[in-house]
Amino acid sequence: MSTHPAIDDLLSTRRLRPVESLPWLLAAAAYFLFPQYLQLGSQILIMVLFALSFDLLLGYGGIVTLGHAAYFGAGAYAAGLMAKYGWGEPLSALMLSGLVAGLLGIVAGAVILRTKGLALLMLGMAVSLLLFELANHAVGITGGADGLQGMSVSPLFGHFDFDMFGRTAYLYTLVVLLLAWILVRHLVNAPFGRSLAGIRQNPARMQALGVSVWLRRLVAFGISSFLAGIAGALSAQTNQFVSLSVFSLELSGIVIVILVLGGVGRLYGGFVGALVYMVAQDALSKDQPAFWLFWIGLLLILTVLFNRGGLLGVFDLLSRRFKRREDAQ
Amino acid sequence: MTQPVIQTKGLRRTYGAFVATDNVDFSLMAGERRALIGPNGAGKTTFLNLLTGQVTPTSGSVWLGGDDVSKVPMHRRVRRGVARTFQLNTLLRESSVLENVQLAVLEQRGLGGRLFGGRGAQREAAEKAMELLQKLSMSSHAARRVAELPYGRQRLVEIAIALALQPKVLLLDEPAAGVPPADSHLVMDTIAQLPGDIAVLIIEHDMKLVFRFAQRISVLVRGRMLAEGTPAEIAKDPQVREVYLGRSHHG
Repeated sequence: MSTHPAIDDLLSTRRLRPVESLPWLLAAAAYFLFPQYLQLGSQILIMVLFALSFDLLLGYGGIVTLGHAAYFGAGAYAAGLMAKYGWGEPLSALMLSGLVAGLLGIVAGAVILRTKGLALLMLGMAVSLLLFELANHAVGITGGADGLQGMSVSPLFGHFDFDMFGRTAYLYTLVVLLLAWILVRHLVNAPFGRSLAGIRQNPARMQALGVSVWLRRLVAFGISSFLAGIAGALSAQTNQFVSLSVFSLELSGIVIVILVLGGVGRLYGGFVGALVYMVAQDALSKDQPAFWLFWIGLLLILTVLFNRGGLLGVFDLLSRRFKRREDAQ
Repeated sequence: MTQPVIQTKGLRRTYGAFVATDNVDFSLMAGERRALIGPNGAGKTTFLNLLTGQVTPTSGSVWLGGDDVSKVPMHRRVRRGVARTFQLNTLLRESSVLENVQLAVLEQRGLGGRLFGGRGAQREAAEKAMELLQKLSMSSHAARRVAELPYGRQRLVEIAIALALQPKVLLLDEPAAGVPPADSHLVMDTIAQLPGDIAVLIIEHDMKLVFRFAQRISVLVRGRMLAEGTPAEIAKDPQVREVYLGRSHHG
């Protein structure tokens, strides 16, 4: 049978486009161009990873929760506690912390994914509140409100110390983000990710195809929690400090803001959103410690009202208009 | 005697005081063409939902082959060969026609949950889906978004998806409803050409379609199975004429 163009069309989404290398080239260039900002750079990359994990849930799974900080925080505390109590090797600790968060995600998800809408939102939030209070209460282990201190992270591969300029931290975070991004890109283009997107569009349809909607969402939730945990663990390892705020509703909110600003369901929303959000925070909060959020708020309103595709959607619009003009000529 | 592919025994479903399905014994043999008719509100769709598992019975049981599946959830009954179409289209409207069918092929092959790769599997599934669409004369629409298709064509996509699941039993809930008269022949022809080994149960108000298609007809009235027989028998049945045909415009 000859291949029908519709088949090629359908399968073409998985092909890597040249423009997809852009964020990585920029991130690599930033290492050389802004050596004094590498610490901020690491924090941005960590938020990108956190937003990427949330994109898998929200953008592909259509699962709206407000409490993803629970898994970021679980990874952060897991990595922090390991580093404090003698497990200094960063890579194995990173993986283990991700697994802890992923396991937590599967246990919590098994319950909360049986609900939907407001109940799902509230239960997701409740999980992060529970963990927040647990960490707050267990002062002897977590340091409570003072935060977890006294971590000691061994050099990466036994060689590269986490230096005060954040060079190792930046490259370490960048490579982990790249690996996570490759993983997620594979997932969303595999049958699993495509069925997940089908569930987002119409759960009843996928159920009628014989899909256990709950189970498939749970797998997504587990993977997303794992990646959020990796992001949290990176944050702990690069800052050598964990505060209670990793479980905060604020952080759960920030990751949504970042993703919506950048663009939901396109894998790159986190890159744009985190960059804009964190640079704005860094630059504007020097003069106006709180007022900078006004500008983020304004930007968010404009995005939600006028351009649901987020800031990345603007490029889509422009390129479409550009193409139309080309076609017209 | 061979076993029915799907069967109900004393099936009953109530909503509070309202009895939607009342002690229904029903069976469908392999390859059979059956129509389920009855006035509005007779409980036809509820009965269908009981067969698929979307609704659980208050009492009584549903059997697939020789197994009691009364407690088996819908998605697992699909995998055991029960496929349906919906009264109102339930499609992935933003996806292409081909993708809608391809996802069904992937699930039928048990590949839908694969986390990695599946490049070859996805191509094969897409080719299989295209083959199906060609049989339904839909291949020229394969690349179009479902939302852009005329309603009659969308109904065909529903049928294509159901066929992609390779069902033993196909339940069609008013497949021609809402289709403009000019396009209804598309749906009718497709139904007439369904593979012979599939047992088909069709809920339909259009008596022309029912009498053209069905070997046997079951009549449901107020949740009860009032009569069952060949189209000729049903057309003559005085009870049926009184409660159903006599009052309707189709008679």
